[in-house]
Amino acid sequence: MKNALFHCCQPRVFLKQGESIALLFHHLDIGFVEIKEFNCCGYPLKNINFLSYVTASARNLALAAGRGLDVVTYCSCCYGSMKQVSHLMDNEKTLAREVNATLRQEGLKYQAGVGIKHYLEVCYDDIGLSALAGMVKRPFKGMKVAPQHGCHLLRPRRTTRFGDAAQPLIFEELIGITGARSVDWPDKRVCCSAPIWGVNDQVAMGILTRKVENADQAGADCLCTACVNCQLQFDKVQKMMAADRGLDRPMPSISYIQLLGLSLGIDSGALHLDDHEIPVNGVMSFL
Amino acid sequence: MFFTIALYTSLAVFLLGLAYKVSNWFRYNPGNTGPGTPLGRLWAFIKASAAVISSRKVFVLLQALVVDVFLQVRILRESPLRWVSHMFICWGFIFLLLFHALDHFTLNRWVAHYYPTLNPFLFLRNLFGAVVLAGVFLAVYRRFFMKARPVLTNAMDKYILVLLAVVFVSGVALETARLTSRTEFAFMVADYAGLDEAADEEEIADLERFWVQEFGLVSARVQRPFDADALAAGKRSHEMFCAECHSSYKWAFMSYGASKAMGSTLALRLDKARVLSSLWYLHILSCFIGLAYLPFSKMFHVISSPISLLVNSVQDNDKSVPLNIATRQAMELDACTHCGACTQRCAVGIAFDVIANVYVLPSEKIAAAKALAAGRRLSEQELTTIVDGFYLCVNCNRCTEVCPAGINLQEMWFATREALLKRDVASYYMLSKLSFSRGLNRSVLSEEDYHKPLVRMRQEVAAEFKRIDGQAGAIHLSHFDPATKKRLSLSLQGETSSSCFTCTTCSLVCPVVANFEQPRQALGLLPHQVIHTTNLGMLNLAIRSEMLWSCLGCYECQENCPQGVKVTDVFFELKNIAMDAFKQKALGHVRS
Repeated sequence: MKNALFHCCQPRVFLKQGESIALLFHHLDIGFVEIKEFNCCGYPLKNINFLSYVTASARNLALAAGRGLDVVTYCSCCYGSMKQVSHLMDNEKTLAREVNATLRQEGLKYQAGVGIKHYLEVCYDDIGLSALAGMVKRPFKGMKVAPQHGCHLLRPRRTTRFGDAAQPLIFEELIGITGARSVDWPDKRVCCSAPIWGVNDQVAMGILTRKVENADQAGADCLCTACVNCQLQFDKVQKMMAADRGLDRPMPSISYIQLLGLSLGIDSGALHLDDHEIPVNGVMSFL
Repeated sequence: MFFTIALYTSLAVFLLGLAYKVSNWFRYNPGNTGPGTPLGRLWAFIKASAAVISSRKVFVLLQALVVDVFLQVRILRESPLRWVSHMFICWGFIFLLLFHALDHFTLNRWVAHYYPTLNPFLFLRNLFGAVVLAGVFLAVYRRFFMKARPVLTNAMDKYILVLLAVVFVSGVALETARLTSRTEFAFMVADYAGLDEAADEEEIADLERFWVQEFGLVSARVQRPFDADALAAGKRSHEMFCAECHSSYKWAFMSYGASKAMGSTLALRLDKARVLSSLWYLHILSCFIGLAYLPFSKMFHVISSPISLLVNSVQDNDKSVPLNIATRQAMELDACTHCGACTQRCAVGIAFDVIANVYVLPSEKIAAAKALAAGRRLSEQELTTIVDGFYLCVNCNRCTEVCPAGINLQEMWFATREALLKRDVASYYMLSKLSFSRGLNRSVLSEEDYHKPLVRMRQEVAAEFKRIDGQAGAIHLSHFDPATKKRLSLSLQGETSSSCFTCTTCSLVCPVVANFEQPRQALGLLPHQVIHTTNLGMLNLAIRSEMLWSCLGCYECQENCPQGVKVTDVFFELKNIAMDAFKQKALGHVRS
């Protein structure tokens, strides 16, 4: 099944991960299609109007289904939203009817069976660890990485089903083939606090500080994120609060796209590493 | 006489209107930032423009002029159909304006023997007229008949399509009437052929036959079939008296085609009724009314949109004086053509289908931004609807990327939003992930401006969801309401809350709770207490707690619940119920 690349709304202004992942996919020979008509996955609307959230993701899945495509994304929030909505649409008939009535006005229909993948799954399942390891040109030597999946990649497990086990090791293994070593840190699966940034900054900063200190204590040299929003928290927001919270050694954070890309030999400028608020030269020195 | 008066009157109205609109560019201040005086802004603008023109930046300006204004590449990138439609209308109109309406100042001066009835002018006028009408047809098709992601069409959109249609169709009709008119033929013969009606009757008749045959004239005086010799004689007269100024009207394919379709009977009747005269007035008046009304209508974009594109091509946001940024924003407000490209690309446009707040859509936001910048008085309800619509934006920047007029839409939304929030018109949508972008842009706002609306929202929540008994301290359980519990059975998620046996696992794994030394004090209720309160039917208590609004939605609680209570999803339901209540309150309904 060919993939439709789903873009998270946030990176257009901030991280440009959309461009980086396109570059990575070209390098890995993963084919994908752009659907211009995709809308927001609806995640930010969940608080205010649940139906609009479901309709938003259902529309995206309907667009992909109409073209016979699966969806691949690089944001855990988008991933989790689409997974949850497809689960709801498949199981709640009344809701599905109401949503389809709205989509019908545009000539669209939600259809079950659209594959929803995170790019980590594509790397792990479609390419495979050994094949990926074979492509690595510049391995990271001796770098310790604290992985951050992003809540919605892992929970609720009933809908996301990321990996085979309750504690999937996909991400850790993928980090491993780049030469870096992933560390097990206690706050690994804790939320980055992005959802309440802008609503309750005090609590968000508290949670974020705790996480960063935790990763530091576990011996990590940097954080590695699989979600756009986590990356924004660890980079932009950590920088914003560094002075406020007395974090004199803010921990750099890169996305797995960048980690893998660098190890494959892709230029750091092309991966937008220069745009980071917290400098990543520390990371580069391990290459 | 009439023509001159009408021209100068409409020109005067146009110029006055233009002056008024331009003055707004130096008065309006959408972002409500340090504005300066209008003269101060004008001066800053002149200085900056002079600096640009006398530097290498002038090449950037010229490039923008060619690529964005003349070739309109931004439209092409988004939609070839719209590009064709607009290029046709735009360039067809410009050619006709310069070489037909203003032919006295252009072609008449440049071309040795210029007569509008000669080729290539005769043909080209028809060609460009056809091009404009084709463009209008495509525009109508796109607005009213295309299915995918429709655009909203307002009175002004309809006005300019109607105006263009009237101007161009009346122009074709005028030419059709003129070429078929026997009355006109008689006038022309008297003025230019030097033939006498009485003495040269046969010569005129031959000329008439020739004109009926070759030029589409309709006459009751000569009957077919025409004698070959008569036609030859007519042709000789034509070459002597008419050919200098007239190419065959067959080249005026639209008018000629229309005349043939019309048929002789109708043509004769219309000639008798002197329809020609009425059509002339219609054509002239529609043009002059269009001219006079231009500054106040959507047609003003022919001036304001190129200016917005040019200014944006050279203005550097980081280096510009705030006065010039405010001026640029004021110019942008006029540059919008309501084409709807932004709405078609809006990432949350789909939300409009469910939430029905028109200000969610970027093309409608601009109108509100303009009204606010103009200082129009709006009701509290209108303001709330506007701020909600403006807040329902994920700041993805797609609208800005596709705007063919080069408007910095996302920046406009931020500026207008913050101006409203500063005026104490806050949105309940702030208590959601929609605030993430605002948080990321914290540094551009003062601490006070940043926090004030959030504090106000919490006060509103507390005021709206009072404790039922209106007191402090312990609650008597006799106050619980079984009916409210039913509201949570909106979906499969809500119903699971009744399985809770308060093991408190959810509270123990919650990262928000773990953030505090004294979580109950900071959050009001802990997660398991929110669930229990809900089960008791006391939604007010649950909703007024800080815990609900500081919930991350990270699903840690739901994942660990041994009873399968969908804790996080129940929280989302509660938030939705609260939002619904806020909306009802804003609409002025009494909450049951």
